Amino acid sequence: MTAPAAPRYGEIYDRGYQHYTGPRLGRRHAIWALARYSMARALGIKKPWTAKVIPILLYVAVLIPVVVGIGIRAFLSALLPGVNPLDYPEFFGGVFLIEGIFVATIAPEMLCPDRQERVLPLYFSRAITRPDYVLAKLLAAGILTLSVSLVPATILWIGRQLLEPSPLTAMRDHLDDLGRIAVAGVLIAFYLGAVGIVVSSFTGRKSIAVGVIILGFLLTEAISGALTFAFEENERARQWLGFLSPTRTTAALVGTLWKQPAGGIDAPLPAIVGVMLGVIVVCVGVIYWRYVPDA
Amino acid sequence: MASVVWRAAPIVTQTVRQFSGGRTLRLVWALSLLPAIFAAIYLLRPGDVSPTEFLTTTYQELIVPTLLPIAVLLLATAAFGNELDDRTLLYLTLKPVSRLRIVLGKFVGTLLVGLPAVLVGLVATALVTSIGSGLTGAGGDWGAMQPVLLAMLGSAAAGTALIAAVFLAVSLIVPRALLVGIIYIFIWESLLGRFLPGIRNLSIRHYMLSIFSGLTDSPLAAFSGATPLREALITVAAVCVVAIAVATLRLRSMQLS
Repeated sequence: MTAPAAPRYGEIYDRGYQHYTGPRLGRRHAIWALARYSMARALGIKKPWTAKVIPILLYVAVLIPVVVGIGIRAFLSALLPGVNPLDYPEFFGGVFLIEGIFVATIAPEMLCPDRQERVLPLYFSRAITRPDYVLAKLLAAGILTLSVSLVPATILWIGRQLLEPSPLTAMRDHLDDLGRIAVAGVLIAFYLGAVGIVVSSFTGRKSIAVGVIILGFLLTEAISGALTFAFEENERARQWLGFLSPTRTTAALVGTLWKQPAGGIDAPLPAIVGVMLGVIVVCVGVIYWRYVPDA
Repeated sequence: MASVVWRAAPIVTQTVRQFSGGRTLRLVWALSLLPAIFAAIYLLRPGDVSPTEFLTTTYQELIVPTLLPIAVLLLATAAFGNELDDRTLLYLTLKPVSRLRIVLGKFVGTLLVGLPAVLVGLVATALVTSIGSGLTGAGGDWGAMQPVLLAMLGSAAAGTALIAAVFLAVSLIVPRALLVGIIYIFIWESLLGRFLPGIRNLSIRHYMLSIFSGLTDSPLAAFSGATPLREALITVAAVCVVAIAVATLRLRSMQLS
């Protein structure tokens, strides 16, 4: 019979680096997590109320025309037949300034703090690569801007159809309007979002990014207006100079989609869409070059 | 020399240093010189608009409601905003300098940096308009333009002080002061201020234009409902004093650590 082994004294345990054994959710999940976090940060979620005030105000500002438009239609259309309050082109034109301010609010908030607090190397040392980071930020900016361009317009569309005597038939009859809303909403969102992200990628200070976005907006608007006036006789030059202005470009897009030419640009739809897609592609190229220097 | 200035006005010197050579100041200069580009474009096709008319309209419709407020706003919100971002305001308040002197120093520093940009931008616009018109044979109009330009410089200086004081205080109260200011400028000053008479009297634009019309006899500057010059100047001074007092009180009570 052997004596029980005496408890060992001074044993060394291997408590070293352990490999992660949990589920691996993959790159797609990492990109989506970063995009979700960026959206929450931009909207001030899990931050003091003071950080939420501006996004909430902007959402309210963009929804007021929708509510007023549907309300007027509901209560006054019986009294004033033939009156068509808040058409879709009017709506997109009216909320464009708010969308611009919204992008100036969210885009710097998504990119600048990462640069200022020097956490980019931390991101890039983990599962997220540089192109993933760019993709996540573009996705976040695009989705949030969609929430002020596409969502309110869709609510307006639904509201208008619900006021019809037979909503389901009205919805079927006006599906083409919904398609136009989708094209305009998505294009405007990514057009503005991409420009905002590019400007914000150049600085770590949010105030500088906001200032440059606003300055760029004013500069392009005013120069486009002044040059259009100066080249009034030259029809071709006037058309192309109009594209310098984001307001007139989007007004032309919406106007052409609903066959109510606006913005002083009398170009066919493919040309306007081409210009907007071109701006988005250039912006994506610039931001890719900013964050993926070796590519 | 530098140390003498530093001893007399440490916060002013620190604020001027904070801005000198930085991107914010470059943006402010770009915004201030923007009207000069419009003046150049105006020269391409002046039509029957006289240079003085062009300068006055640009001042009333572009500089006062939009460009000047944004330019000053960038500086006023960054003066304390950058310190808050970098968490250095705490160290400033640890120095044996009273909170009132800190606020006054930031205010004067902002003016020292902002005023030259604003005023030079206006003079450059007037010069481009006048000299360019002279060269293109439309008549320089410099003699008629001078009193209008002087009135503009006076009103722009008052407006700069007013906006700087108000938004120094706002930047200590609201975290995203620049955005609040931009929303205020685009929605309140530019959009609502144009159409709603009640709001007009509560806008910085109204007082700047009132001072402008009070300082010159030019009929181009006159508008109905203008506040008399003395009252407008007293209002501007009073708002500046109140804003500085609010900023001082806020700086005393706010949690900095």
